[in-house]
Amino acid sequence: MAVDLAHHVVRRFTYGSTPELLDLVRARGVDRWFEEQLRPDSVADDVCEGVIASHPGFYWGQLRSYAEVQGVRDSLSGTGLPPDSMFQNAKRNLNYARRLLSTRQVFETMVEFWSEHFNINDASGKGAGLLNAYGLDWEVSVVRAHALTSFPRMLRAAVYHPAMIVWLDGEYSRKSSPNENFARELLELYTVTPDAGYTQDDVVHAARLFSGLRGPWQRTPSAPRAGMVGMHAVDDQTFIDVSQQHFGSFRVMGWSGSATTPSGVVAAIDGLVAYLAGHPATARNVATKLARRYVADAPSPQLIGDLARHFSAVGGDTPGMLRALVAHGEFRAAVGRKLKRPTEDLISLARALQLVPDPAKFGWVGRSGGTAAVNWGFDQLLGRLGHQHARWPLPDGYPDTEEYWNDSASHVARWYAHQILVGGAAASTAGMQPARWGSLVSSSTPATVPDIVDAVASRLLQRPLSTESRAAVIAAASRTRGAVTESTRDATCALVAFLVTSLPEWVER
Amino acid sequence: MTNPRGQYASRRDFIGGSLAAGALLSLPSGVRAAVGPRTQATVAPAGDLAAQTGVVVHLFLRGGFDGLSAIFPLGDADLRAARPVITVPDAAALNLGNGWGLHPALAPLVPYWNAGELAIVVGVGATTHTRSHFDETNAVTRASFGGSTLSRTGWIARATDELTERASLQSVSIASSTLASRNGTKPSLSVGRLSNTRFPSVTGLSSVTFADFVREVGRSSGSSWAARATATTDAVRLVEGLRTVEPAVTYPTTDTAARLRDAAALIKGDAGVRFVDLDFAGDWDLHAGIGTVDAGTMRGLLTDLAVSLAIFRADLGAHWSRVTVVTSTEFGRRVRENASQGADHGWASAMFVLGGAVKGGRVLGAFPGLAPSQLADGDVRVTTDYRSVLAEVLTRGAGLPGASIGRVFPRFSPVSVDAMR
Repeated sequence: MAVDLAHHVVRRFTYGSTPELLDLVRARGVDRWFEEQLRPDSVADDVCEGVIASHPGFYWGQLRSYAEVQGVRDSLSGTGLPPDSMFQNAKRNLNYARRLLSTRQVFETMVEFWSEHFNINDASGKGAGLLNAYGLDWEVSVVRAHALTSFPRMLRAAVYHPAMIVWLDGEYSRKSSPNENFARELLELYTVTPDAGYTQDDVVHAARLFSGLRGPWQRTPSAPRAGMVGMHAVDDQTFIDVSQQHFGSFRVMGWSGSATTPSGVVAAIDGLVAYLAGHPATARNVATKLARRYVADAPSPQLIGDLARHFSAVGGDTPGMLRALVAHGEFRAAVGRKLKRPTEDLISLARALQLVPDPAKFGWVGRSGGTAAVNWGFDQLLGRLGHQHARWPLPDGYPDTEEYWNDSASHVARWYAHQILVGGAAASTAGMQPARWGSLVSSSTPATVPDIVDAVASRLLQRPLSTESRAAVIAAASRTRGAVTESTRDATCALVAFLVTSLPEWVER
Repeated sequence: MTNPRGQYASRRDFIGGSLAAGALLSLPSGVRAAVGPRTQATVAPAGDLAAQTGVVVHLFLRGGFDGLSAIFPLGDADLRAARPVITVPDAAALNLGNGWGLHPALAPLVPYWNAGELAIVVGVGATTHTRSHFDETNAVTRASFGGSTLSRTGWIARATDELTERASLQSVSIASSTLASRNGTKPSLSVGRLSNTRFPSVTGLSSVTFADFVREVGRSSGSSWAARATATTDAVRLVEGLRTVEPAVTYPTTDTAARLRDAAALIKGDAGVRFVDLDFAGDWDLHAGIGTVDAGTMRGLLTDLAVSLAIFRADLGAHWSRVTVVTSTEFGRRVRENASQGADHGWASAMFVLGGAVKGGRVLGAFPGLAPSQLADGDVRVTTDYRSVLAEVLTRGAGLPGASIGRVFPRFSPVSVDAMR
């Protein structure tokens, strides 16, 4: 089968191909479209931003500084509304809405990629309310700000961010007993990985170097305090607690440095971060993860080596890495070989069916006698599938291989979610305005089950079903619904869409 | 609280008394004998019965279970010195005899102990010592250390392959996420909760039509996704038949208890289940907040663990005699506490083995003590490979033939732990 490069690129680098998007990419030319996508600011995104701006279920996710968040918390005190969980919900909702509606799809896939590389679990309860508050800023200042810049810049932003400090116990680190959690994950997950052969001594030295790093608080993580006594400002939200900072010399793998002052510590941290970001083992780590995300579960050593060398050559430039990946022969030969993870599955279905968030169904929803905080049903569906944004419990991010996701629980949960999204329950259970089948399938009214199967398959997959799959869908739909009439047409479309999403063709990415 | 001793005195005294005659084994000097007698006999399944009906319930304590918080040497100066804040005071500990103390939050497990149904293995873990969640979780759940390449299947999947009969619900995992100990090629079921394990309800689409459709697609497709879909329809049909199995007791409201309730329904429903793989619903990765005996995350987690298991046993009733529960984790935690009332990643941990066929009422495994010279880079040394414990549980609890252990744990020769009859 000839490779349809436009379809392949769109399926890998967006949250779901649609007939409309595929037409657009073909008209533009896939290379040109991809280049535009690597400069997201050049791509107009008015519709998506308009939906987000008009909906209170997304608004809270756009709060950033602790002061803004605290202002909202104060304004809600006494109302009985649970601000902290709603901050988390709003952040997740905002991500789903952008994956669903944004024209900047490549950017959004990279937001997810980096969000998982530096995974922070919003639900961990760490730092009391602080992780909720700084988790919003983390996403804007680190993940979104650097999704398409370069790895060294992103790593530096991550190291100094209060959300990361809270997440990996930096606030508890003491000069006398440095907490190793962040130092270990920095080496193991974010940069060089154990393949680089670092030792426990390396972890201890790095932990000492980070021992005084704090967010804008002192000692206890309850709340920021005025008058940060003994705190050296790194920037407007990150500090070094001088009394808990280890001073001296540090040696981590092939890097060494020393610091006798707080500003010396910042210089040393910058030096270590630059060393790690530029290490060949880090290049292999990032190359492997990108290849696994966009090419195959088990990318070849050849591909990883090529991408790692490119990473070093371009200084970790992210758009440069993506260009090299798309141009690689192994990418082009890997059509359909990735499995959609649950988020990609449900959002691609919502995109194909042109579902849009229903403002009446979530956020701060008016009720008789007041306002209630209502979760978005779509987020709850993803919870059932074990794939909510920023909820993986450990620092390593959601797994990205079929081995993990192809289990029975996943199949059962996907059946459930698909049945909701294709029919009228999309409104009541998923918080989406339901599919309007009349406008989704071709305008000449399909009169028979086979007509409907072909039209729905074209809408969902933009290509014909295999002979065997088509026959199986037609048989099951015919046995269930019999002849199609004007009044049963939408229900037949929904049934057929459900069956198509149960095919292996549907989960290919 | 005013007097923690008072709250548990009678129970602790009973335990202590029952172990007064504890025998000491001959061990190398400096190694604590961690063995006491079983206090009461219970009926164990004969080998043949276990081979047909023995059930192993594996409970994974994700995050790195701190064995020294759960079971620890009493009056140990090295422990107090290393953990001045988080060590359970001797006065508050449940005295298991032979110098061992148990965290008071584990009191609901004491009846198991007294009945000889609970053994605790100390100094146990994987022989690798990386302190990495990801490396160790992968290694422990797959239980295969073939050079740098991990096996792609888990030990429970390989054990399932050793069963002579075949059924869709032989091996079930109940977890928030898929457990690698489950991953395998044979049909199996992993569920979040049994109550969510249903056929889709699309208007007019019968479960028969849907299952036929999935099977037909699976036959022609040949993809691993389609094959799993077919296996899933078989398993869901069986689960639908378990809906009428009601618990005999009232479970606590925790997620862990809910998963154990599902496990009990599978066992009581005679659905052919032989392995249940459960993820404890809680994070044991306590770099901070282990806390003191009365306040802290550890107390809550241990309470959930003990209460859930005690209720599970009560629910199983007569089925309990053919069930063995075994816990595992990726690693224990550093002996020295950190500044945040927590402990960083370490090495050896403890394993609980509970069941009708357990030689219980005993602490098992060599424990060389906590003197700094006995530690491995500040960690409790692993003296018992956790696979030795699992091998006994699989042969005596699930009735696997001894010859199968070489396939379940390749390139490994188990040593007797003496945890099972």
